[in-house]
Amino acid sequence: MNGYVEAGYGFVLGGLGAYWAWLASRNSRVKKALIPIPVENERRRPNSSNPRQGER
Amino acid sequence: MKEGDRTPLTQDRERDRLSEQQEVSDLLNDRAIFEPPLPKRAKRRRALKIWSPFVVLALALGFLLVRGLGNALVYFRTVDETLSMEATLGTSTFRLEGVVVPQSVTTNNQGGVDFQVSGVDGRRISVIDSANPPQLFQANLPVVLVGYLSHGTFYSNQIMVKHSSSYIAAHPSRVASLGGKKL
Amino acid sequence: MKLKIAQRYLAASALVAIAATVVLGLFITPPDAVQGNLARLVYVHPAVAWVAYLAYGVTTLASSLYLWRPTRSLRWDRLASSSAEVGVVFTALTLITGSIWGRPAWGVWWTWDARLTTTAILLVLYLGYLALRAVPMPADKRAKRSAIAALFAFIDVPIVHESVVWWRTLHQGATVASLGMNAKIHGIMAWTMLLGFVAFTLAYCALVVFRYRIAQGEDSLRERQISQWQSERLAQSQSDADRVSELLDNANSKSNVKMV
Repeated sequence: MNGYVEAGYGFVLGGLGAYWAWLASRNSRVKKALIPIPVENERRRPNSSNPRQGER
Repeated sequence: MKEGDRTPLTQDRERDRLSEQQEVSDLLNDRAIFEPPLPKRAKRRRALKIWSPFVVLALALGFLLVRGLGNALVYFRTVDETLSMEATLGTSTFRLEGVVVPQSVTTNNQGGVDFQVSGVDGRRISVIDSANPPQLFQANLPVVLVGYLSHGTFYSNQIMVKHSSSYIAAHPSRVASLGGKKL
Repeated sequence: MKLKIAQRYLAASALVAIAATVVLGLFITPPDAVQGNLARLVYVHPAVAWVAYLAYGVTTLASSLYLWRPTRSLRWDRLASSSAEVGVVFTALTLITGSIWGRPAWGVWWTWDARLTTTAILLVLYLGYLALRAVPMPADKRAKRSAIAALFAFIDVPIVHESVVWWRTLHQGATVASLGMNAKIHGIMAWTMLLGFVAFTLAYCALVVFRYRIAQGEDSLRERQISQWQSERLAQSQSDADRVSELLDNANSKSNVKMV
């Protein structure tokens, strides 16, 4: 078209896509850190029947 | 003396015991701990990482405020204001706003254009521009020019086109309208 | 779990709406009489700017709800921080697309007019808000401080919006949201612009929900870390205390022996 329009659309789509990707990587890092619950901790808290600590 | 020897010691022990209790209760209270226990050097590096953004942002804010107050409040002068202030302006640089007069535009040998801008009531100022005008530059559009006034002529070294906020299809007859007013 | 499902639907609908906006904006809509193809940026730039306002509005609302005692909850704090972060992304995109539009249309990438300057100030203010949130503090203290900061930062939003009315600017006035509500755009161009607003608002919602879920995860991770540090320090201080009282006992018994 004239380069500027494409660049404008490209920055918006690319920017939002990059932010989404960054959030996804943060999310997987948090998830990974949260899932392995040490057995000792589980024994110490017998009432915590909910293994999904990431959700509330 | 025997009594005196013993009393401070028990007082010390009592004080230690109390402070220890305080410490333990602090530890049990969530408010006491919110960062990992770190060695001194790591702590300093961490503090730098936390506080340096504030310094950068404060500098940026100061810069923006200074530039903004210096430029944005009176971003341009209109043709009429410029003509009435002509005597006091000298050759200071400022921004001039006016509408490009139709049929006044000619290219000059400096790579720019010569033209006239008019104000609200039709008064005009001649412009000699030395910069390549932007793509949208055309008659009847308002422009903002950066330059100075000399003997009634405005010498511009930058043209900015101040287009309107209206959007109208270029070839309305070729476009079917999807609801709304007919184009 | 519900949030995850909501996020999935929001993201999917945002994706469809954005794709439709791009197709309509780039290929179906006619070029503008004055700006030609450049006017196609009107389908993204104002919409992205609107989302930035919306995001900061949500941050302000959530911060107020945190500050008001009856509704005080860290949930509002999480929403405020999530929305502010997404708002910063959209503000940056507003400045970038505006600059890309300004170069061919005005002739300059940047100029110090009131609209551009106040928007840049807006970005700096909310980056400051995010920097404040990065300072280690107890959760409740951080929530309170950043809520107050958010209220102050929001003052710039109406200034940005009204800047084209209050001051002389190179930036044009509002196309749609002027006081008389007499839009200066019609037909398929207007519909595409509206679709753009809907599309980027949906994208905002999806991003905020995603960011909020991460904030939840990070908070429970922090809680776990804090309790770990607590038990470590507790154990440390107890062994210290044991050693001290042992030494004191020794000293005491020695002095007692001496005294006897």
